[in-house]
Amino acid sequence: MTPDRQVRWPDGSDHAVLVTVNYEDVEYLLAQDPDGTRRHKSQSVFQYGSVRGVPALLAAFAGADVAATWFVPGRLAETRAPQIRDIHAAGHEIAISGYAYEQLDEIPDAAQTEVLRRARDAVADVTGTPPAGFRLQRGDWPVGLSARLADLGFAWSSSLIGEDLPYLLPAGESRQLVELPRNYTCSDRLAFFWNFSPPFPPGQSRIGSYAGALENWRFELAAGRVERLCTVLELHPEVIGTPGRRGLLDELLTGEPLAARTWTPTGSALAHWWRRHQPNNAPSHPVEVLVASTHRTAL
Amino acid sequence: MIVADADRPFAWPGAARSAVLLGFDLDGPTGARLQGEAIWRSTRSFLEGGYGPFRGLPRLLRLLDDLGLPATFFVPAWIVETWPDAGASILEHGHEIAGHGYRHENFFDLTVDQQHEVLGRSQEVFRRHFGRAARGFRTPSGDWHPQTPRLLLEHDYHYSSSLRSDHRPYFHRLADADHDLLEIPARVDLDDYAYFAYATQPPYPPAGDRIASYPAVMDNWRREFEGHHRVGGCLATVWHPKVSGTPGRALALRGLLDPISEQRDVWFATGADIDGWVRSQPLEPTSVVSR
Repeated sequence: MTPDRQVRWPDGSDHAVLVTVNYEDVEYLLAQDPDGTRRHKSQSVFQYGSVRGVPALLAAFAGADVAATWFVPGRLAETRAPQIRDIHAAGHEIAISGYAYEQLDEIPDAAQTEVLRRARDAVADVTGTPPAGFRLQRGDWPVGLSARLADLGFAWSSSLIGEDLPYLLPAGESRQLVELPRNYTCSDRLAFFWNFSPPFPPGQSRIGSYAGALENWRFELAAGRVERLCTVLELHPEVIGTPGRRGLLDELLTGEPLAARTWTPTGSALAHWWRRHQPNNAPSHPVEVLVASTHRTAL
Repeated sequence: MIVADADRPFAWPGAARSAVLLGFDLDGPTGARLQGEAIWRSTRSFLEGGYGPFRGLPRLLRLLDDLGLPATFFVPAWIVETWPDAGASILEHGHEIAGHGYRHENFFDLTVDQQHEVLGRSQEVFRRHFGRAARGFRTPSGDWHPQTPRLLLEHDYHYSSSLRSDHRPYFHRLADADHDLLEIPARVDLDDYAYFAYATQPPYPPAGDRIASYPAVMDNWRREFEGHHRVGGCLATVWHPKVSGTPGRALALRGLLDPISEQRDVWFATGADIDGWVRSQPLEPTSVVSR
């Protein structure tokens, strides 16, 4: 059971909404399909995100005065440096999701550290700022990953599902990362993305109704506002950036319930605020139950 | 085999024309994938399941309080041990807590001895935490075992809400048993898993079907309520706090339940209330199980 205490967000805001973009271009494909380098049509699906999606999202965010947080595989800072510079220059935050969209729970601990270090340095070379945020995109959370992230200077993650508010991830040596939890509903990829090879969804089930997904997002946002929660939206340039779906984003960002008294910070700003102003996790918090039962000092 | 006496009239208390059992399965991280110590090994699955007792349950208890509706929570005994405050809060809010295995075992796959062990251990946890055994039981993870109804009676369960074969209660009549097990059937149409449960790696549903539209699902459920009311049935839901307890889905459920809760000729009842009512009636309501 959790206390009914409601969060008092900065500046009298009712609601915190973290707008995130998973920007991967062809790294998503190359990491999951050994034939990806020869699949030009499949590559083009993701290249659309760089060609059209990124400018569309930048325009939508500028129009709504929203600072978003973009998770990129570090290699994108090398292959798509102009886009990364544009995003950074527009006031958004760049965070990482590995170097080449790796599945970290399939590689040894030391190799995980090397992936994260390489990604961190690649982004810092382009933006001048070492990234502070991380998102686990594939596989399970490997034991000890929070400590490896803290060792490399990361302050927060937005990876896990199963909370409506930020919380603390123990990271060993009395350190903690702030977790900004996401959910399965508020993702354009899960609602709309469809691909032949590799198949997505796995059974190639139908593309969802635009109006239906928008309604679901609005339910989660409206309730998040009433309960003063933190809602994380997940967008993908190649998905939401099409001329038709772009309208959904504009409706979402400029209409109720996002228009007024909503705090839309970057991931780093939100994590920093949470760390300073909010208490530790409740003892019955699932992450506390998990670490206590497994005698871990780091998640 | 079940033979339903479908034409026999069925009376509900007072002016009620139909009954509703709001049944919630508080599985938390337990389930077919996470048996034994594996429950601690998947950080993602543990946290996704932990949402049920930690966030979904308190939110749904507030919703039920606001609407003044009773409910029955079917809870694996391991959840009672791991989140003792969650179990206690169900009772503090005036609801029923009932059995759902120890760690959400699939009874179809258990031997009779293993089922004895699971049921005995679960009732022992309920007696220790709540001072009494659970009256109700809902079989977790698909089918029960052919011997499960007999074992339920041996372990002091009075009713089950597991099977699908009617839209109103009936008795499992077991040879050589000195009393019957009441069945309050639930329907998969009223199971939120079929609409909203979602996961990746491994994907659930396996094909990765999209999360259904909340308003469309509420419309399906509203039609089921109306239909059950028309035929004088008993609608029993299979809702999961980790699935239906998200902020937006709880809001959608509020929109569904609010008008129904105002209807004076619908009896919202716990499983234990329904069990007590049916057993108090001179006419036996229904059906016979034989094998």
